[in-house]
Amino acid sequence: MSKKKNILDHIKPAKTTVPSSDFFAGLAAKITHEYPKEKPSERSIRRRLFYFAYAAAAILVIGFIVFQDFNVPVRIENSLESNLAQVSNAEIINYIDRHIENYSSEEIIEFASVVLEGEVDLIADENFLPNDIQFTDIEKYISEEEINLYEFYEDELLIF
Amino acid sequence: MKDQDQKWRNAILHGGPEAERAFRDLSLFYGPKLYSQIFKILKTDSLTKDVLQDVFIKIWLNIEQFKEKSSFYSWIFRIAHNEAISTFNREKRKTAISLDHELIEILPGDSDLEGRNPDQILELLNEATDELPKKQALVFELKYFQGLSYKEIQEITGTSQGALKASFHLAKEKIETFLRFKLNQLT
Repeated sequence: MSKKKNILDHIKPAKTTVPSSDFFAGLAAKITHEYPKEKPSERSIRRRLFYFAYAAAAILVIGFIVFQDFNVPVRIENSLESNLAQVSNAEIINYIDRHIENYSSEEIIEFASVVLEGEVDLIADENFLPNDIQFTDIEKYISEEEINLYEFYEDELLIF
Repeated sequence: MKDQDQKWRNAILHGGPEAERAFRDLSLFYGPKLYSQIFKILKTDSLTKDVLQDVFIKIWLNIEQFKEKSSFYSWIFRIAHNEAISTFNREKRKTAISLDHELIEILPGDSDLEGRNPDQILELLNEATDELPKKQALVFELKYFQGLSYKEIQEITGTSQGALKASFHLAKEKIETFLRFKLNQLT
């Protein structure tokens, strides 16, 4: 008795004609040109500058508060304020630029994380989303916007 | 993850001209496979090229999100599949997608297939593939539609040939059940 054939044995896929290699090379060149990727060193310097800017701003704010709380004599306070007022944004950025290599990434991130803590708490707050948002609203939004859930990490989807 | 994929990924993550060269090589290697996969769903050259561009943009911009839990090709196969299906659904709402040419040929000898339109059978095949687990769908695509040998699929996925054969066999059985059920419903 002969073995019954699978239905797929009666369906023959035709060979697809694919474009030439020039097409794929051209496509890659177009994408890399439109979306250039920097080297990590350039990225990390920029990131460190960002953290350092936060840190510098925090130093100014903390310094100001400390001198307020301890009733520093008016003459000294005025002197500090006057000194701080004389420092321009450009000078702060120049200072950061010259001294950024004196600090490790860990030191900068650790210090900046203290400054950023308040903002992170705001996002983590359970009231960050309005209370009247329903699951069906979220599903409708995902469907209408044609959001592809496969593009997200699993961690990012845990809110669902 | 196979060595060559790892090298391409690392080079792309590092940025600069080396990343561009690696991305070009990756596109030349995987481009034709992805083109065939997408074309089977969208059936027109222009739509397929548009979707392929979106897929490669996603690979280029999001490669750091690939966590090496599966083969690299499984990851890009899934991106291509999702992009193609969402474009197919969008375009289907506008107008019926016309075939550039027939993508399958029906051979005589199976009563369930007699007198059927190849395009209708292809759509059912796509539906059936969509129901498969991810890995089986990938193996089925590469073996059945793209005609690769088990050795070639092993090189791409890093799975043993024995496991690939088992996976393909299971996929065929499931697709046959699906197709016969749907075809009997239509009669």
